[in-house]
Amino acid sequence: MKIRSRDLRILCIQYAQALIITVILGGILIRAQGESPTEALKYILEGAVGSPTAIANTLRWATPCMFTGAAVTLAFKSGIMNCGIQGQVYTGALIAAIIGYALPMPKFLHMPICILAAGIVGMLYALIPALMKLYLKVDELITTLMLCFVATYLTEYIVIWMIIGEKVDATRSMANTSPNILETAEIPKLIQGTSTSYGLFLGVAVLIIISLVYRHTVIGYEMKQMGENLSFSRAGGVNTSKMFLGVFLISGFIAGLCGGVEVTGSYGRFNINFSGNIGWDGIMIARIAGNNPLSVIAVSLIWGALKAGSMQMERMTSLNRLSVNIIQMLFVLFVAIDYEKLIAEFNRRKATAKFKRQEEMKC
Amino acid sequence: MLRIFFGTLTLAATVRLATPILIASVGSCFSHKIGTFNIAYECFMLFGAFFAAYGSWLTGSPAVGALCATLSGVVLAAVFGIFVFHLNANPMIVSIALNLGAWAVTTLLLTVIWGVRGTFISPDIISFKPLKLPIQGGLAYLGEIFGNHIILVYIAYVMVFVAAVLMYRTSFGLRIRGIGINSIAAETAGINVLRYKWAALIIMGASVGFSGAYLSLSGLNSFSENMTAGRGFIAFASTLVGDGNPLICGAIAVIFVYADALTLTLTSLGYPTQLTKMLPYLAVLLVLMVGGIRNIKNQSTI
Amino acid sequence: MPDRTEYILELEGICKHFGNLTANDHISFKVRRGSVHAIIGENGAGKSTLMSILTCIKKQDSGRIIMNGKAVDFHSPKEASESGIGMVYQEFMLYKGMTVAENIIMGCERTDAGFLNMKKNIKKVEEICDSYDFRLPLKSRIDELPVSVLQQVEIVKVLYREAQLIIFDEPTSVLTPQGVRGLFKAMRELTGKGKTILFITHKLKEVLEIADHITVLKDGRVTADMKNENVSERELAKLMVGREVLYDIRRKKNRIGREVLLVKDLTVKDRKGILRLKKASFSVHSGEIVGIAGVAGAGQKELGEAIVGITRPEPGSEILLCGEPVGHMSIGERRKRGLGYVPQNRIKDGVNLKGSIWENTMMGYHLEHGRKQGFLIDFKDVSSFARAVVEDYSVKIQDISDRAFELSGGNIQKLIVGREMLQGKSFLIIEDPTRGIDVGAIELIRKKIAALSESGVGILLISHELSEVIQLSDRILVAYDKHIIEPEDSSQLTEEELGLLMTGGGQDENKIS
Repeated sequence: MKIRSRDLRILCIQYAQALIITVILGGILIRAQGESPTEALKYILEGAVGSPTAIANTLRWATPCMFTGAAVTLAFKSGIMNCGIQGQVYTGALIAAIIGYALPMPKFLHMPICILAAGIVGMLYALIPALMKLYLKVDELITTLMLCFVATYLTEYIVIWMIIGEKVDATRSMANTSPNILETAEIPKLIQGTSTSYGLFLGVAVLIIISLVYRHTVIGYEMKQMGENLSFSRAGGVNTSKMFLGVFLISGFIAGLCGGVEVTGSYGRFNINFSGNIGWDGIMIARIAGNNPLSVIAVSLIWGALKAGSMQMERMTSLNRLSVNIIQMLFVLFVAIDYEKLIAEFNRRKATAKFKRQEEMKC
Repeated sequence: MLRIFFGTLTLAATVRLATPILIASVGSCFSHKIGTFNIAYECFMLFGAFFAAYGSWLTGSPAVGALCATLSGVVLAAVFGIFVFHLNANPMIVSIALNLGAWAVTTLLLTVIWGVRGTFISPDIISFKPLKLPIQGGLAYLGEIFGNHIILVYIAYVMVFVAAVLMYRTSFGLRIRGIGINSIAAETAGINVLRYKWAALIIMGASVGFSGAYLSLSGLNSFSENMTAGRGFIAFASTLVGDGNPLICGAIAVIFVYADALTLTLTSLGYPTQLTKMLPYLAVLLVLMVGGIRNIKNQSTI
Repeated sequence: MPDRTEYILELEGICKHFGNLTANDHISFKVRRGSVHAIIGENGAGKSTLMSILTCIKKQDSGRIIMNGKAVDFHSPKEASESGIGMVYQEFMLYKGMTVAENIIMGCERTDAGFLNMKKNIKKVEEICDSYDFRLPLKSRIDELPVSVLQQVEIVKVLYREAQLIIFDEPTSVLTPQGVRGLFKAMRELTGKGKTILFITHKLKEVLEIADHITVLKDGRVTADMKNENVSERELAKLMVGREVLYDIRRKKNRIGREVLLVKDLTVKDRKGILRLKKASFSVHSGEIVGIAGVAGAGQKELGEAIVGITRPEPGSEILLCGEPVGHMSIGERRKRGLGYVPQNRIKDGVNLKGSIWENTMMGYHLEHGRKQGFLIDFKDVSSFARAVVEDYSVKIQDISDRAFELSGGNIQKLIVGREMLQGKSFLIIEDPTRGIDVGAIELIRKKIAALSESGVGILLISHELSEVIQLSDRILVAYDKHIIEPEDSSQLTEEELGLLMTGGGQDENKIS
């Protein structure tokens, strides 16, 4: 159904305002480090879209963002606090890496099986908090958080002690990766010579499917209502337990896919703790995108561009690429402000003041 | 076996390592009880650790360092409060942004101020000195466990009881709890709800920031990137599981930290660190499961 | 004691606006000390706004409040409370999980250097209880107490703050007729001891019984201000609504058809495992309205939830919908078999405020209708259903993609009732359909309920409004202390007789059916 112009206007105000504030604060931040903000911006753009390699980098970093953004959007839109994306990504990635290097298979089978297995393992990892919530009524926020850490150490253990095992000394900190996956397990590269793969399209496809599900299907309708008012949808006949389990598992599946695509598409092996903040990034991307699956694509691209650009900036200036991270966080903070409420409050005050003036004029 | 679980090494480590978790979790009882959702513990703690190191490095006094840590926590809590209380931002998103931002900012400051990446170790960061408690003779076992800690350790345990008294024996605590149960009722009873929410949040920020001081000023003389490594979340878990009752939260925190302390002992016996490091998190999950078992018969939907 | 002026409170030209809406338009009246002063008006007349101005939850745009002859300007609810204004709210302002004593002293504790001195506090509360003849279990938790006691807790809370002027906001809506009598006795006791009472209500009989003085509000204005002498109910109604209200819906006896609901030995425990309903058995036929009366917490809420499927009953219970056992089924499956449900808490269970109108009307309907190929939303069907609800039940909206939070309480209720009634169900549970909505909406909804039963739908009406139950029901069941009782000749019972049954008095010989 149609979007009303008033909602659209508020949305524009929200993003424009957040952007302006962030640009100003970011400029100050860069200036404080003794560099020129415009210069920094130039290098960021150069690193993000300046050359085919730059674009490839942007797309490469946007890919995982799309998956995690999708996983979070799906879960949060149904009111499920899946903060364990990280753990689901890692477990999925590890299984993809293991199947990738240890089980030779024909080419047409190997890669899909790796990715699918990653998804399924991610899903199984999400099953733990889901069941704990359904049967033990334990808040999924805290369980998923804890399972994140468990997954980080568990994958680390498996890689170092079980995969690398006796071959190297366990205390050696350099041996942090599983063996490279076989060529048959790799996703073909989108741009040769870079680590950008066709996995990107899988991410886009997932997001488009989610968007279609929300817009056109009854299940999507039920998922959305459940997130907006649980007891309303339950009283209305939605089987909330089943729906909770289903959405949670699919969210975990997509997170697992993310791990699979990262391994088979970009890294070619499992690096311990390969992406420290990927799960949190997903939450922020979903938030900036306003839990809209299609906007997640756009925000992921921006996220990827900033990541690729910040590396270039770091190479060319004395600035640390963390400055860009800080600017991203600032943007998230300012987008999170509830402008609708603030505007309503403002309008009400204005109307009251106007009335007061009229009253005084009468007197 | 007994040596591992009840040896002075493990127990003394528990007493010691519980410090930051206790301080953070007990301090945040107030904001939990009043109903402010906040998981920016990592942020407050990491900043606390950084500014403790910085303050100590500048002045040579660990006490000043701890003060800086506390103040940084208060400032960040104020930022959180402005966004959540006054600008109606979603507390979850604000928390996550602050957590990630804290990691970026402290790492950046590490490079800007000291010009290093990863870890900064310096003898100029003065740590707290251990206090020798005069426990001797037949009590040597206890002495080894409870003696010989830095002052922060003892402060942490005192804080648990102070918080419990504040929560259950003062009108401040009564009001905090009342607001958490029914804030509209509290408003009509003439309580300035927002002021109490701010007070609770500031207490939380101050204590979580203060808890960070332990990390950098307990003898390592260093600050390293992402030094908190999930401790903030453990503190969050103990507050949540203890439902904001300082005594229970404290006890739960000690259980979690005991698992952490086992890590040290078990690692020294040759168990893989990766497995032992999982213990505190598994302990949280286990406690949650045990707590949830009474719900298993309750078959109503989520 | 402050100087004793004749009037404890005077209002002069109070105005309050919300955006373009004028909630209070130059309201002025005086309240005599030691009297019961009633303020009547229908929902939306501006009563609540006026009270929140008095208690300083909101601030007036203009106008003066004069207390004890001096103009006052409150800056916080605390100041209002300190100057002697106390309020007993309709939705009790209590803290679950805390003791009665803690509830009473909250916000006004007596302390020694910051530390609570519970002994001192409790002693003070006990003194108040003694002097006004209230008996409260100070150390019990609030959750365990019945509604009438909770109201006394609220009253003691106000007295503890040494209020001189006590505002009662619709205090009788939760009470049985016997409870009302007790409340009125307490009110007289209070005025006898020099307190002044501001009694806000829309129940005219009660006003005529207790009030010394009556102020009528309509559309934010004072339309009448008079002594309670030679006033008739009819006159008051006219002043309040602006026309004569005919709540009386003449219902002719419908032809009673097949059994649409049969409940046998229904036993329900709540989330904490506490028994809430014990072996309830009854039936509802098509074309019949069965009312359930009971004080809050007597088990009627759990009864509704168990039939709908929100809570699972204990083993041995049987629920049959149109002859088919549904005890094991999900809510959705029951709905597909012809069950409709208007929940009591409309904001929590009845509506998604963030959603659009069509999303709201679609809920429940989507289980069987509004689909293409089984899984796609048929937008044409869905929007035409939404339009039908909006038109039939005169919900005031501009477009069906408006969002629900923009609607008033009455419109939301019409939306929910319309949604459930238009789905062509064979059996409907309706809980408190007219709570807190304006007269127009009440009339409309009651008429629709009557019309629906005429069309052959079986209706279970669970309501706290006794007059509503009596007026609409063919049979009345009484929920009392976990039991559902069916009195003989229930359609002939008066409010007083029902009230007695609801509190366990009278007709002991009644079978527990």
